[in-house]
Amino acid sequence: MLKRGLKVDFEESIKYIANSILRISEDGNGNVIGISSSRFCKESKSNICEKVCEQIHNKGIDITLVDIDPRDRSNKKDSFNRICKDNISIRELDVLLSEQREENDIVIVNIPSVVFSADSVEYASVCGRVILLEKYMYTTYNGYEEALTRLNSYGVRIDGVVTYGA
Amino acid sequence: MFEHFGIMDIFSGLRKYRAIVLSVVLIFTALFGGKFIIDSKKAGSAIVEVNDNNIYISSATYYIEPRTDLIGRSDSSLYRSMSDDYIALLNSDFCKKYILDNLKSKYSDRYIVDNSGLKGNTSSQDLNEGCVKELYQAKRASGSMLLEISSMTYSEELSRSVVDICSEFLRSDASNNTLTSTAEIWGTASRSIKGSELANENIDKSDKRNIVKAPEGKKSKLISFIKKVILPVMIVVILCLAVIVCKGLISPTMNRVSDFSRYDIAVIGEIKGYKKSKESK
Repeated sequence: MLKRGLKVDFEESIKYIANSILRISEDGNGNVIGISSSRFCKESKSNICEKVCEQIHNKGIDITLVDIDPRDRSNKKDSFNRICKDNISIRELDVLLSEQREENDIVIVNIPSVVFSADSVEYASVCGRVILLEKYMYTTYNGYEEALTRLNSYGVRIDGVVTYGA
Repeated sequence: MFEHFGIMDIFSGLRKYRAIVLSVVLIFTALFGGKFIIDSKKAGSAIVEVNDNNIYISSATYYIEPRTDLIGRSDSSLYRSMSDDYIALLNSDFCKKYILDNLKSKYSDRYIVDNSGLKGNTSSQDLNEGCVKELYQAKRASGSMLLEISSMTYSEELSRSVVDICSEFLRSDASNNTLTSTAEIWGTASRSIKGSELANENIDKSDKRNIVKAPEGKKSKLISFIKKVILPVMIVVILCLAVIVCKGLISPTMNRVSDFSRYDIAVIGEIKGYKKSKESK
């Protein structure tokens, strides 16, 4: 019963985050949203991105996940469209996103940690807007402030932060 | 350093590292507990050897007779203090010297040391007036005018001699009569017990003689367990907490929504049950 309660909590949380991201994408500032973090958390970030994309796709919305920070995966088939592009250049990403934003209602870009990877802030600037994904008892104040500083210096719009790990 | 760290962060740290803290506590509990059990068994076997010895208890009881002209004319506090005068005399350095000189005239220093409660590493050169307190005890029976002198040693002869010498001291012209009373001998007694039976003797808490320290009874075992196991484990727990606090102070982490709300970035939402849900798949 406890496990079921936790699973329900998790599913409902993901639904809420998915709805929030949809609402953000419809505010007229672009439908490409980057998801990054201040610290290295490839596994959990990828997992959450997949869950959110699944949830949005289940609503019948055209969504593509551009995964620049893919984790090692088994041969799991996604219900939504996923494009894995490890070590993509900024120009290639720009071209790719130009195509995808026309073809989809929303494009989610899984970006490596802004502080740990030097190119991440460049990727975020191509997206134009970003949501930070931060873990309790893991994200440090220094790391978070560094991430905000880097994103602000590139003029990237930070739409919000999603927390997890409690 | 302290602006990002509070008491709730300690709880968050404990929750995050609960497996490690619990493991450390269990390991140290096992270590200290194991050591305690081994030490108890060793100490127990050592005490069994001592328990083979007989302890001889000799005693003499005196009735403190108030001076005739004071009977009925003084308040009760004066009567109570009469016995205390004799106890003070018996515990004085002069009395101890008297006892030691008389014992040395009859027995060798080695004999006195070996048969008394003096610690085994006391050499005969160390035998002095200060050691004599191990040989006898003088006390007043509560609520009465009776004074008891008792000696407890491993030699029947030595115990009797100590009590006799104390009696001589009281009978001598210098000390038999205080200003307010006299000490009249009421009776003497001698008996022996095994070392293991000491725990059953009604021994005063004020009696600090080495020979009366009974083998570990249940109460002292509990105190020993608390000192040797519980306290060290509590110190380990406190050290773990100290490590968590230091880590939190040196590199504070963000542990709740309110920590993120300090910045100008909206918290869109919180994913609950993430780790556990992931593990349950």
